[in-house]
This record gives sequence, C-alpha cells and structure tokens, in this order.
Amino acid sequence: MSTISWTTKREGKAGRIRSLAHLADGVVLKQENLVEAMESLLRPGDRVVLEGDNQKQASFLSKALTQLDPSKVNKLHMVISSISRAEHLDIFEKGIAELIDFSFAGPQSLRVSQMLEDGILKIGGVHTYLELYGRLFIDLIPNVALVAAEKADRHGNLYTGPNTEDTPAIVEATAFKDGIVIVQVNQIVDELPRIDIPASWIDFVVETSEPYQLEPLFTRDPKLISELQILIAMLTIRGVYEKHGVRSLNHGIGFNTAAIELLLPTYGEKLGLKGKIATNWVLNPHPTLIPAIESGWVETVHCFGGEVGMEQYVAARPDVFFTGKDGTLRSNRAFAQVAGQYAVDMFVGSTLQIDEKANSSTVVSGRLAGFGGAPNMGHDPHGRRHSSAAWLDLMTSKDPLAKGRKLVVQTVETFGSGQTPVFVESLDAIEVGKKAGLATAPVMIYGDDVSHVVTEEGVAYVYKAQGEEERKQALAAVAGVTPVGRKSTAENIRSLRERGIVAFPEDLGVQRTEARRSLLAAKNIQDLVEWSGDLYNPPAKFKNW
Amino acid sequence: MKTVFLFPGQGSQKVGMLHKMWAGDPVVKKVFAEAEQILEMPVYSLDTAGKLASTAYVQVCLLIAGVVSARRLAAQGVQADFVAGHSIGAFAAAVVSGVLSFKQALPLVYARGMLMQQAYPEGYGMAALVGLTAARVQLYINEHNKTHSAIYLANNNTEDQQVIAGRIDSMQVFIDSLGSAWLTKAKILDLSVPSHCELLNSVAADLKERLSVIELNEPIIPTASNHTGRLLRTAETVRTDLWMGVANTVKWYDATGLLYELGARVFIEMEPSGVLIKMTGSSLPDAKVIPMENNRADTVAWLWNSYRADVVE
Repeated sequence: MSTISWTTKREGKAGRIRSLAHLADGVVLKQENLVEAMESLLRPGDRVVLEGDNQKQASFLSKALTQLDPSKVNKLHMVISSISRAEHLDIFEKGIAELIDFSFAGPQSLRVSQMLEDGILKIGGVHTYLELYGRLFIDLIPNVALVAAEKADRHGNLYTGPNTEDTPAIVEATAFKDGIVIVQVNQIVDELPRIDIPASWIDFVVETSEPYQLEPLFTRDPKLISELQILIAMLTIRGVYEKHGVRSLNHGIGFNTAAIELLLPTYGEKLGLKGKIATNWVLNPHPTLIPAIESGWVETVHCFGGEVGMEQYVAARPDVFFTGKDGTLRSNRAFAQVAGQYAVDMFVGSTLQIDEKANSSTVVSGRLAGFGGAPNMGHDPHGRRHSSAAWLDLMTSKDPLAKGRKLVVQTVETFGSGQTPVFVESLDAIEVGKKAGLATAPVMIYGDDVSHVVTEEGVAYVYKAQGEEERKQALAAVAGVTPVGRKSTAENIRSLRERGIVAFPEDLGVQRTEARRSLLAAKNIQDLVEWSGDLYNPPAKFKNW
Repeated sequence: MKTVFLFPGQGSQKVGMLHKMWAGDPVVKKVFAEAEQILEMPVYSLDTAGKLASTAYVQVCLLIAGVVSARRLAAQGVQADFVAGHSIGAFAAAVVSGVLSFKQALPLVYARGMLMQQAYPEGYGMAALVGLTAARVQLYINEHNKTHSAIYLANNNTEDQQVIAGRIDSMQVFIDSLGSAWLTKAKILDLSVPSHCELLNSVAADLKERLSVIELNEPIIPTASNHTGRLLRTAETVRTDLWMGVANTVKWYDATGLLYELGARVFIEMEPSGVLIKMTGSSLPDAKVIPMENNRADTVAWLWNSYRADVVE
C-alpha cells in the first residue's frame, strides 16, 4: 500500500489556521490583530491573490500587507487583476513580494516599468482577465486570497452586492484547493440582504474602520463629448450597427462609445432602429446608457461590476439588470468577460495607437499598463458556432464550412490629444515590450481580429479586404492626414468605396453638419440625473452644477 | 493625498523676479540677507536684464527664488511630501529637502552656470518640439545622427513635449526633416548651452569634483531625480543626480508621473511660476496645481488646505 499522503495541503491549511486560533473569535478577526494574523498565516513564497480590479479594491488588506515584517514574510508571488494602489508595489520595494501576475496596471504603470527595469519586481505574465482567472484554477492556484465584501455575518457568509465583480472567481479557486480566504468587510451584521458567497468558502473576516476603495470608473460626463466624436458615433451607428443589425454588444470605456449611447434615443430613433439594434448588452452600468434605457431601447444588461451612484437606479430597473432577491445588482466579472468574449456579436472600443495592419495598443511612452478585459472582448473567438444575423453577415466565403465572424470595431479620431497621430507605421508597444523583456509585444487588439475601423473620415470594412495590401489601403483611406493616411491615393479610395470596403459619410447618408452636441440625449451629468428620475446619484466630483 | 513642491529651471526666469518678492516679509528678508552675505553683492543687482543674459546669474536667481518660495510656504505650515526641481531647480529642491545648505548651494550653482556658459561659446543650443513622444523623437534622432552632427534628447517634459540639444544647424535640419506631419510646434530656444546631453560631460565631471568634497545631510523630504525619473531617498543619490543631471536627459515626465503614482495630487510651483504648472496640467489632468507667483503665501496655504480636505485618498 502506498505511504504517500494525499492530504498535505489540507493538513497544511489546518496547521496554519490553528496557529492563529488565539487571535480569532470563530471566523472573525479583529482589525488590530490583522497584521499579526497575516504574519503567522503567510509563508515565504506563498502565492497570494489580492483582490483589486479597476473598480473595487481590498484596500485595507493591501495596506496591511505593507506592514508585514519582511524577515518573516517574503518572496510572495502576488496575483492582482489591476495594480491600482501604491501599496501593491510598495510590498516589492520592502522585500515582502518578488513576483507578480496581473492584467492591468494603468494607475501604477510607470512604477511597474521602472521597478521591472530596476530588478525590484519580476513579472510572471501580463494577462487578459479571463486568462488570469482561468489560470487561478490551473497553474496559479492561490495559497491565500485577500478579498473585499460589503457585509458579512458572524458565520462568514458574504454580501458583495452590486460590486461582486472578481470575488467569486478568486474565492472559488482558493477555497476548493485548500487555500485560505481572508475577507475585509465594511460591516458585520446579524442578517445579510442576500448571500453572494457562502460561509463554508471563507476562513476569516475582518471588519474594517474604513470601507474598501471603490472607483467610479465608467462615468463619462457628456459635457466633454466633442462634435468629432458625435460624427464618429453617427458613422458607427449607420455603418456598423444598422448595416449588420447588431443586437448584442459590449462598449469600451471611452467618450466615442458614450456618444453612441447618447445618440440611440435621438439619432437612432430618427432612423427607426429601436428594437433592431443594441438591445442586449454586457456592460457596466454606464450612466450614459440611462437615456437609452429610459427610452425603451435596452432589453438587458449584464454587468462586470457596479458603478458608484448607479445603485438605486439599477435596483429600480430589474427587468433590465441582473438583481438579487434583495433588489440590488449582482455583477460578476468572470461571467461578464465570458459573455463579452463568446456570447455577444460586437465589441466597440478605442485605442491610442493603431498600425497599418489594424493592430492596436494603449501602451505608449514606456508605461507598461496591460489591457484588462479589452483583449477578451476585442477578439473573434474562432471556436464560436452559435449563429446570429450579425455574425453571419460577416461571412465572406462561399466555402461549405464557412463561418461567421464577431464584429470587433475600433473607433478612433485620426489625431489624439496633443495632435499626436493615432495611425502609425509601427506601434510604440514593440519597443516597450522589448525593453521590458516580454515574450510578446503588448498589443491590445490584434489586427486580424479587427473587423471595422471607424474614424471621422469614414468606415473601413477591413474584414472584407483581400490580402494584406488591400487591408493597409482600407485603413489608410480613413486615416486622414496622418502620415499613414497620406499614403492613400484617390484611385485606391475610389475603388475601395465602389467595392464597399470603405464608406465615407456621404456613402452612408450621414451629414457631417448634423454632428452637433444638440443631438446628444443628455448634455451633462445633470441631464442624466433628470433622465433617471433622480435615481442616479453621481459622485461628488461629477456634481458640477 | 500628497503634496509636491516644484522648482522651475532655466527659461522661467524673469527680469525683476527677485524685486517682485516682498522684502517686508521676514522670510524673504532673511534669505536675501543670507544670499548677499555669501555672494557679496546686492540681491537686487542679480535680476536685471543685463545679468540675466548670463546663465550663471539666471541659475543663481532661480535658486534664491526657489528657496524663498519654499520657506514662505513652510512659515505658513504648508509641507511637501516630495520635492522636484527641473534641471537647475534640482539645487533649490536639494536645499529644501535638507541635503544641501543654502550656503553650499549658492557657489555651486554659480559655478555650474559659469561652466555651462563657457562650455560652448556659439553655434550650439536647444530646441523645443511638440507633437511626438520621447521614444519617437529618440528613434528619429538615431536616424538623423547617422548623417549629421549629433543631436540629443535633452528633456522629456510631457508625453508629447520634448527638448533637444546640439548644434543649431543640425537641429534645424532635423526639425525640417520631420516637418509639420509629425510636429505641431518646433522652436529653437534662446539658449546658448546644449544642456542635458553628453556635450556637457566635462561640466558634469567638474561638478562631481566640487560635490565630492561637500558634506551632505540625509534628506528629510524624498526628491524626484532628473536623470533617472526615480525617487531619491538618500544624500548620496541626490549628490549623483546633481552632477549627472547636467549631462543627461531630464526625465521630467517620468519624475512627475512617478510622484502622482505615489499619491501626489497637489503640485505647488515655486516662483517664477507657470512653466511647470502647465506641464503638470498637461501630464496629470487630475492634479491640483498652485502657482506661488502673484499669490500671497497665506492664500496658497488656504488653497492647499482646501484641496487636502477635498481630495480623499
């Protein structure tokens, strides 16, 4: 008979938990004992998932990590969806952690680049959200998870509410592989509004004196939408949504897509498109979607996360949003990413740079930011087979085995801020990737996944282009007076337009002069509040009236 | 929420900049008296049009104005979590962070200015470019230098604002070759020194000598480095930055970006104010910026307190 033990992890966990029994009352840890508890729970080299995405942050636990004694706890392997807080990197400077896997580092991207160069941290990988979640179950299985919830009861059941986000994915990967789950909660109560995560998955809860950090990331003030962006939105609605009859979709975070959301009840209505396009969404509760919802455009919205100030509004619209029996939103980033990758017909986003083959990246100027979920949504999953009218509409071959294609749309102004050309011959990301020693360049969306590029000049139907040369020509045709755009000739453009590979505003019946701010269903945040019947309560920094 | 004191560099000087500082303020009076004792000349003779034609006096004036500004703020209880000085501004920053004494700094800065202005009598200078990232400018410079007199990236001020240095005729060819397709603005600056590139290696070596015999104190405020764009927490790293800075690219975009990522949200620019505040506003649109110039110190203190109450971490 074998003498091998098959329960080493389980016993290890039990031992660790016993070592701090004197600090805990059942599952409840006192805030003042947290650092001591973490020092006896964590072992050098542990893989630790610290909850933190671009919205919700286990901020109390991340602060506690910085207070650990590096002679006791060191060489940690951190897994963090979004490196958003200074502490996430302070623990590397202090010698507590040494290796990191992440998806997005926007708010700390310069420090990530510098510390990598200085050898203060090592990068395991820069992943998409789904790759990171997936690998939590394969080869990045956590020893410890540090997560955040709104409320817990004394048994450790959790209410994560509208901002459930990453928590279920992280906790599941940890709890069912004998890892230890520690949760910071804003409040311990006798009865929860609903249970988002059951107590049997949780080891410790800590009630903290300050609530976890929550960023209003998806609030775009309509006041800042330009008429150029409105023109691009009109072209996208006519040349993409209407042309292909797109009903299920995801929008990026930028002002271009905010403009589209605000044009549906006005421009879209005039075109008679209600009910024919943009009915089923995977999207955070964007405040700029309120007018479309109120006008009856939107059938359903599934959310990655919540949005500060939208709680009451969402709770009052359960036919549209996913809500619990308690009435509040249930978000789930992992499921929403899967839906955004596989289940919707279209992703529409924006970028800072796009090359001649439609590869795009937001990595410029040496900052290693990563892309979060955009690459999940922004690609055509080749294994897909559920057919929809829009997906089939992009079929270009008569082959008996031909399949449809997801729409991956980039909407960009030809020049970015500071008059920097968005269309470039080669991406800055290539140099940044080399300098950081990455195995592949940090491309956000690969050119061969892109189906359409829309600029103020027109729409390039790049999926129709035959071969690399024609693809380049199609992009150049909408690249305006950027150096890339100057490569196109009148003859090429005429031919591309005739064959429907490029469409200019006049080809789509779009009047440039009609692109006015008066076309927006809401012109500022106050208008959004009015549309919501005062249910939307914007964060203070957006209350500018 | 953290606060940065910004110390401006060459280009920010103005005729009469020291005259503008109200000598009735005991802080101003004290710093001026100290300066006169060390320099053995009246402070009000330093900021004239004639004197400001000399790099050495420009740099001395900027040092005095920077130190006066920071001490006026300190007298009002305004405290910095970080300091950052652009080019020569690094010396005032080093004084305020406690690494250098004002007495040590004044002759050093005068010497730095003299060495710089004597290094290249004519035909050399600097040019400001707007519209390209530093990485792209460097790429084009590498191409250009294969066939022309070498030019260098001297300052990376914001994402799309760079300064280059070298021979003026070569810089002009470079600017013409990029043309308006890439650049939204390009201007040869009214400066006769090709700073922040290897052309000033001898100046850097001289400064290194001078700094090596000076006893420094450990900083009480961390400093953003010019030549690495990193945070400096020790006297030795500040010492290195002070001499390396003159012959290496000023990584201002990185330096200020780093401070922001470390939690800085309020940026106060010492007198003469304007240039750095504009850069900060362009790089860090969320940051609050306050100019010292044309503001009473108590007004700045009031603003600073209200921002601190506003901006929740």
